[in-house]
Amino acid sequence: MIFNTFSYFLLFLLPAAIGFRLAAPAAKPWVLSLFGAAFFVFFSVTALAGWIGAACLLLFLWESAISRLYRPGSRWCLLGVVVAVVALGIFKYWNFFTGLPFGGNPRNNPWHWHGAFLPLGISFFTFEFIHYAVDRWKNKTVPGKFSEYLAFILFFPTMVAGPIKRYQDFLPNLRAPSTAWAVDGRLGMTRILVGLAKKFAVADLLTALTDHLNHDDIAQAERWILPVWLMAYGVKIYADFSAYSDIAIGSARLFGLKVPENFDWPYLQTNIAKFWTHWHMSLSKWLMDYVYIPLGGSRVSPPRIYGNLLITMLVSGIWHGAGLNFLVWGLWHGVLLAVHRAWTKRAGATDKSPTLLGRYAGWATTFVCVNLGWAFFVMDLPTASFFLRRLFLG
Amino acid sequence: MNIFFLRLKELLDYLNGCSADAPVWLGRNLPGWVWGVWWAVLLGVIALFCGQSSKFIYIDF
Amino acid sequence: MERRTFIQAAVVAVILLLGLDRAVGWMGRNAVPRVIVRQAHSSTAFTDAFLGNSIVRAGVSEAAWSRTAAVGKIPSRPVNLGLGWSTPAEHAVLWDELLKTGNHPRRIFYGFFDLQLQEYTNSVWWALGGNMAMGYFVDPELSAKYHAPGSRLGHAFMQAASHVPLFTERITFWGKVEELRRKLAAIGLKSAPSNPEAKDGATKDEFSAFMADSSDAFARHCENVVRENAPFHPAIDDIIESATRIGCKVYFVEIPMTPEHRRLFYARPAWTAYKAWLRGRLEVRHAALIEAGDWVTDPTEFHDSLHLDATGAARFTERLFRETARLDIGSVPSPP
Repeated sequence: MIFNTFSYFLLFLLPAAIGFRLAAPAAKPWVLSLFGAAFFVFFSVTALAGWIGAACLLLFLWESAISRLYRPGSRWCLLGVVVAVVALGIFKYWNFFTGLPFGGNPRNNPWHWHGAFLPLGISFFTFEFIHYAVDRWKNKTVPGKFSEYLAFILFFPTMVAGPIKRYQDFLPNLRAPSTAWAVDGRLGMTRILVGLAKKFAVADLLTALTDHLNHDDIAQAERWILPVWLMAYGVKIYADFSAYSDIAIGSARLFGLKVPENFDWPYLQTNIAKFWTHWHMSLSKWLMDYVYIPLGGSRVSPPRIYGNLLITMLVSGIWHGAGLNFLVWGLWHGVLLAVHRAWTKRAGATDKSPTLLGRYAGWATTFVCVNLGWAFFVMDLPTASFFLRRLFLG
Repeated sequence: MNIFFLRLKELLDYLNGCSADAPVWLGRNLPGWVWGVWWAVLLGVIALFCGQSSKFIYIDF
Repeated sequence: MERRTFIQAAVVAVILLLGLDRAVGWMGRNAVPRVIVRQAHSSTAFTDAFLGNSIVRAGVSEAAWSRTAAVGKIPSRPVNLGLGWSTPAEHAVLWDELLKTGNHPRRIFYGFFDLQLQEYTNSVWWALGGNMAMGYFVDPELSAKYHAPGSRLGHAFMQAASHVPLFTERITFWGKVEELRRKLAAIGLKSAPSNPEAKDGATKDEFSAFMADSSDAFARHCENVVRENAPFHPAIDDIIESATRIGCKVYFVEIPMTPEHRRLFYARPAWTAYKAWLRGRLEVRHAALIEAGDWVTDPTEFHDSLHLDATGAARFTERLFRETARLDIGSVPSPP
């Protein structure tokens, strides 16, 4: 829930934004940090994993403490990355990976963690931890003060589900936030209201259709409705996540802070590469900078480029969830990107602007491919296979 | 056709609060009362649909 | 300039919201809870009142009751105050509204199924949804007693909320959105039976608290209730107490269930033991139990897995009248 609760607006956003604007410059990072910590504890206790989840605030404290040791080329940076990845691995993937040798059956898995829970926003704040450690190692960012780094990682509007921020972008903002409260108020308020309206009126309404994406309903549905359900999921996840991003960005704006955009009309894009530069943009950019480029990016031999694309999208897939279906979803997009790359190289299409018909064809192909991919995102592997069998074979 | 879509996109971005200034072709920023009406419409939509509220998908990721 | 724009926007938005609030109040004038409250407030001297949720709303036919009474030449004026998506708290409020008119029915029938009399829903005072929101605008004081027991904040909130129709009567338009959702959900599927009483928000979710996961779990639940001598919902206690105080006979009626439901849940010895225990507890309070769970045997006389259709409702209501008239023959006036 979180962004669609009164608690978020009345207990956190409004008091924190007002407090931040009124606070002296030196106190501003502390206002963000204190509200961020309170936010993490409050929603962990009331909405997610309870007090044990709230105790995961220690992850932030550990990260902020060790981050003071980061120096360009320092091994502390490596340790910071390892700890962040291990924490994410334990909380998010323990049961998945330990269960693999036992066919995914928890009963057969002697290492199964029955009380497993996901700390609030761990998938997102881990990315920010890694980004800072790597960028400090590469000397791409200044360390900033302890309070400033704490404010960066505990900035609650983006803590739970992004957009994933960069320290070098956030810090100047934090040091000199916008003081044009009327402009920020109008933009922030509008963004938040649009986000809430999108969430309630589009995403939640479409649940009526997407709830049918289960084995029983697929089996008894008329065949023509299946693509409608799948497209409804495509629209729903866009409306849901872009609404979340709108509220996060709008909330930040009320503080006078700018955070990165996450969506820019992705479903209007005419190829899959463009789709990924317009969909969950802060994640795509993160994957590009911290997975794809370190693997060699596009400056290696063609087979390795395709390999890098596949690996990057597999990482994206497994990051989205601990399940084989997410791996297949990542693989699907990796293959689409590889095919697109091969196609553009072969046709030399990058040099010419496509015809109107070509653009429509590209748009339609991209739209269909992305939506087919959602089958693996929203359903487990057997159900998705069953869905696609029914869709294509009847 | 393309210009129509481009202008529509610019207008929607403006109404969405993504950009502070109105698209050039609109001439000037919208007056305060229009924003007030727009907010009221959005609040009305929110009130109308919020009964079925569910968790944001990415919260669990 | 921007400051002026922002303030202007905020003022216009607030004015329009106030207008919307009034409009919602006006739109909600015929909301189901209000219609039922108006029915309770009517000048008619009702002799028999029916309370419960949507299974009572769907399962009791006032027309069938009056018809059967006319055949037996027994004067009777029934009122069905059954309200979909409601809890005993709302039933107690409706009952209280009926009593406020000075109207003292001779008999009250409280329809239930499964372990509804002992169960609590997860409703919270700051977010009463569906028809439960009537708690805010009909009698917030009494509703707060059940929904926010011992909470001053809850009492104050419910009182304050009663002045904001946009909050309290949002069900007026939520119901329409819910209808739209159901229509969307039904597209492309074999037609699923819909419960006409559910259109104002009563869904099977309403019963989720009472529906056990399995027959075994249900039986265990019954055994626990009996072993722990579980109390009734406080609103049920209040209904019994206020009714008996005015000399009104109280019946708790096990509403007919589908053959499938009975096979799964009511065929268990635990359910028989529960009803024996319930009968004992009711008799101590001068109330009676009517075991009507198997009075409708034809599965086609049910709208869905829980609610009777019109034919089933007529069949059940006629028999209920005959059985209770026989039981109450001493207290029922002789036909003219």
